[in-house]
Amino acid sequence: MDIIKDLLTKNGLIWACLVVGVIYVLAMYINKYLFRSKLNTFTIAMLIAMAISGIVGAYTGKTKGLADIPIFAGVGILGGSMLRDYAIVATAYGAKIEEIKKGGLMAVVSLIIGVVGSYIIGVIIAIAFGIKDVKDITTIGAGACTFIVGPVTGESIGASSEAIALSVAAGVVKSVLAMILIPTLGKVLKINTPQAAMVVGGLVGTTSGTVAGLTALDPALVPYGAMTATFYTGLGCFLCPSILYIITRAIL
Amino acid sequence: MEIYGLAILTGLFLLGETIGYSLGKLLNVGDVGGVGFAMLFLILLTNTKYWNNKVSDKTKLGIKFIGAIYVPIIVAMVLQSNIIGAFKGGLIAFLAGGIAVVGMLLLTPFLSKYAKIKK
Repeated sequence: MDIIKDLLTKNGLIWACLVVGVIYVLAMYINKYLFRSKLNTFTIAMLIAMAISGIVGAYTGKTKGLADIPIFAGVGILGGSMLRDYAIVATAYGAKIEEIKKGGLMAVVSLIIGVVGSYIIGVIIAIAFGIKDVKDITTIGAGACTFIVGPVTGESIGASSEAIALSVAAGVVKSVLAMILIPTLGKVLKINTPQAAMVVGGLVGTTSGTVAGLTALDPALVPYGAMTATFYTGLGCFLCPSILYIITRAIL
Repeated sequence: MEIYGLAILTGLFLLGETIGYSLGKLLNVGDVGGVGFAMLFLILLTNTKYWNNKVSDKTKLGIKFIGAIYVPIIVAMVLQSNIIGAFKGGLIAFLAGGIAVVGMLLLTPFLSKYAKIKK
């Protein structure tokens, strides 16, 4: 038993490939026999992964899901930001420059609407729940952008730690919902062109959620959506603690 | 060779991140779209005539491979997401994050319709 444990810990990254592979096979069979291949295998794999990380998270009480269990730490490397960003860049291979030119202007517009709109929604919710401190309100508004913008904003303007925790939670909710809602609402919302994917990336932002959602919807759209989404967090971290905070403070 | 593809990808990735972080430093934030810049460089490179005619298939394979394994990487990413944290935030977090994503998604058709008119 110890030998196996040592081996798995030592070979964390490649062992993680087996773990993900098994989840994927499981998802394929569930799709085939339970849903007669009507769903997307990736969506099911994602739901299984969410369930696992939720159960493990409830058990360990930590924040990194399965990666918090030492023998599964390799999952944290495989799914960590280094490989994720590297792979997202690689998905741009094959993307057409003409498509990006066509959608470029709307991508910028949607980025601004996405950040400011999400911020305003977060601020309104915070006020509706009776939060009085402007710094806390701003931080929750920033959390409605992404779970990175929230804490970055909160720390830079000196919000309370409760507000920062809330902002992270709001961002995580957004990311998880984007993973589920983009593929389910994709057809209704006509997310079927590279330009529409760029708009989604700009409006929703949260890279993890957008990329996972678009993968389930149509992998060919991923590069376009991912590219705008990666600018979102940067723009949010720039706008929320500065311009948006000052405006919010002036109004309230 | 495949390693050329990996090396090119890493080079562009680091170049993009350098720009993203430099821009971030200028604006006093972390990273401003480093990945986005890197993607733009890769798209610019792979849309050139030189790339399509002169570069060997094996070199291209190096990049395509990394692009292909991003699906399992995303599954691994979800495996380590903080699902409990989303629930712990309670109603404020759920409404703030939830309405933000639903509201923005509902705007999508209008904005993408406009993007189509533009062309």
